[in-house]
Amino acid sequence: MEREISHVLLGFILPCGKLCKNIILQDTKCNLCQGDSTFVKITTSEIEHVAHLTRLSFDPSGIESFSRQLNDILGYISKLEELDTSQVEPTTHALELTNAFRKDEVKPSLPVEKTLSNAPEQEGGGFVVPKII
Amino acid sequence: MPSLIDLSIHELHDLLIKREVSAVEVTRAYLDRIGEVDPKIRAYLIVTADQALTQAEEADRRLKKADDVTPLTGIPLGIKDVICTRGVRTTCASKILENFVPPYNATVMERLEAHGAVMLGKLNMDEFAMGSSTENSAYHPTHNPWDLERIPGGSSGGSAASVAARACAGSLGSDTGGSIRQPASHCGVVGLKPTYGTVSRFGLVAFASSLDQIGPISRDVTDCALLLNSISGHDARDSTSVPRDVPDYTGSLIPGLKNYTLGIPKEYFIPGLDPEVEKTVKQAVSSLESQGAKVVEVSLPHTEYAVATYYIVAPAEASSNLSRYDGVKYGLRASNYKNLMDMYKKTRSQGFGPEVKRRVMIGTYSLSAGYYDAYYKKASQVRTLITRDFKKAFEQCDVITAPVAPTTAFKLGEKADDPLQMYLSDIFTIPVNLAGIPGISVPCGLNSSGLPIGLQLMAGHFEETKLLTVAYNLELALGRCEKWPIL
Repeated sequence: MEREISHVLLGFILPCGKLCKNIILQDTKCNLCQGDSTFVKITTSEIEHVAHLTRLSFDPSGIESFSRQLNDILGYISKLEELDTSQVEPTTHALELTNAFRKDEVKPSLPVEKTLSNAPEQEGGGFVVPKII
Repeated sequence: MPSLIDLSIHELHDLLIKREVSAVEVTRAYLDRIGEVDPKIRAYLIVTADQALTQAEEADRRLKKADDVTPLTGIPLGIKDVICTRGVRTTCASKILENFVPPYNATVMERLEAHGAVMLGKLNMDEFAMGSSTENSAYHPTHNPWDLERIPGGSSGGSAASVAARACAGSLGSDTGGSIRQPASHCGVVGLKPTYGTVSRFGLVAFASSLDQIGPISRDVTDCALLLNSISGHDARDSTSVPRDVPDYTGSLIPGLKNYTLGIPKEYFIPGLDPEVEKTVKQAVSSLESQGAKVVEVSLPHTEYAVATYYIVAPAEASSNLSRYDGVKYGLRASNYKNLMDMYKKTRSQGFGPEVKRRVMIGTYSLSAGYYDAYYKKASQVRTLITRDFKKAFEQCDVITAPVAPTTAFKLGEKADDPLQMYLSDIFTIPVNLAGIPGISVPCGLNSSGLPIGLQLMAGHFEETKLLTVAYNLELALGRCEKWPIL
């Protein structure tokens, strides 16, 4: 029987109703309960949503090949679920550096005309953008 | 006398200070060489001939007065096009920065300038340093000087190919997941990724800020130490640069490995590793043993998770870093847009190539609402496990020895349609970046088809001196490579 399966984080709601994070990607079965969850893939509408968030647009044929590649990559990445990291602190910086403070003082900086020298459009010492409101 | 382009940086320096050659002559020799071989390998995006000759004249004045002369004075170098060069276009091999002319120099460029080094031009790369083959350049691929049908590696493919082809005396690259070491290995040259925080990232166009480091690519280990000397050190303009005294790295070029223990991680010798690469790397380790080193087996159990971890962390950081390309402050702005949102989307869709789009999409997805814990946080936790593996291994050994890449250079186009396969080719180089430790690739032989193989050496944070000592001894044991590709 086909059941609607919601995609929760990297886990899968199995037919038994449990959230399973232990998947074997090849046959998309759960290691623990051997339930036959369907591997829910990133959908075209999700790709369109993420494309909007990242300010990109794709034509329909582009979206298709893109979703195949993204699914391959995300499928591979879900390998991390094999590891129990519940007791592990995350690393966001490779070295144990504390904040690098400096005095809050005015120093010479690039002149306005140099700062604007690469702008696609400029006027009166500022960047010109399309009308917003 | 051998041709000027055949000499290493330290050999050229000897001739320059004796005034047997002038910096202008050396620079002209390299510009001629570029004219001769670059149409075949296409390592350069821009050759800055006039500026190079002006810098060489200035270097000659310094050499003549014997005033303020350093080992890099008058030495012609190539620079990866991800490093900002004042007044010289810096494109990151992307269409979105096609006309970007930085109004300032990266800190490494200021340092090289202060040393009187000469810049020959800007070198090709994968767009925004995202790739392992230099095929992702928006302009043209670069060819491996040892076999023009093959990739030079990436993302610093131009930096490695130009050194191997003797189209510069040395170069700078950048390494986020292996982008210095892997092309160095594929091109048969020396490439070092310093400890995170050793070299200022100010003016290095950001890809993944917690992983990026600039480093040297050179003909031999001595040149590597000289280049590292010139670019290392604290910079107040990069808050992640480490306030720490920089040693003279040439001091580590000493024969003998009597007190050294080398570790061989069993997780790096896996199915999928090319048998010829495995054999050559193991022979290299044996030759280090004959220099006095002790060899032990070590374990880095989380190695198999490194690629997955990296392909969350790096794209997540990239999606944030690359949001600055919005068609407002610099770079491309698309025409014919309806409103601001349309301008953003058209600009970015036209300006970025497919691999950059893939990565910023993955990054945005993994940071988006509901997915952050499962992806980014999870990956950051596994990053801790990978770092702990190294800490534990370095309790047993000084330097870890391993292959750089599972195979020698592959053919152009071979992996272009399968991004995941391309990502997996970085499996042995990525852990170093995640842990922030230094790594070096040193040539250790050619395979039966004449393609170079590199030995990777890894050490603890700020242990570059140990890496250079072991690398130098490998060079002594194998004899410096005098065979260069014929072009």
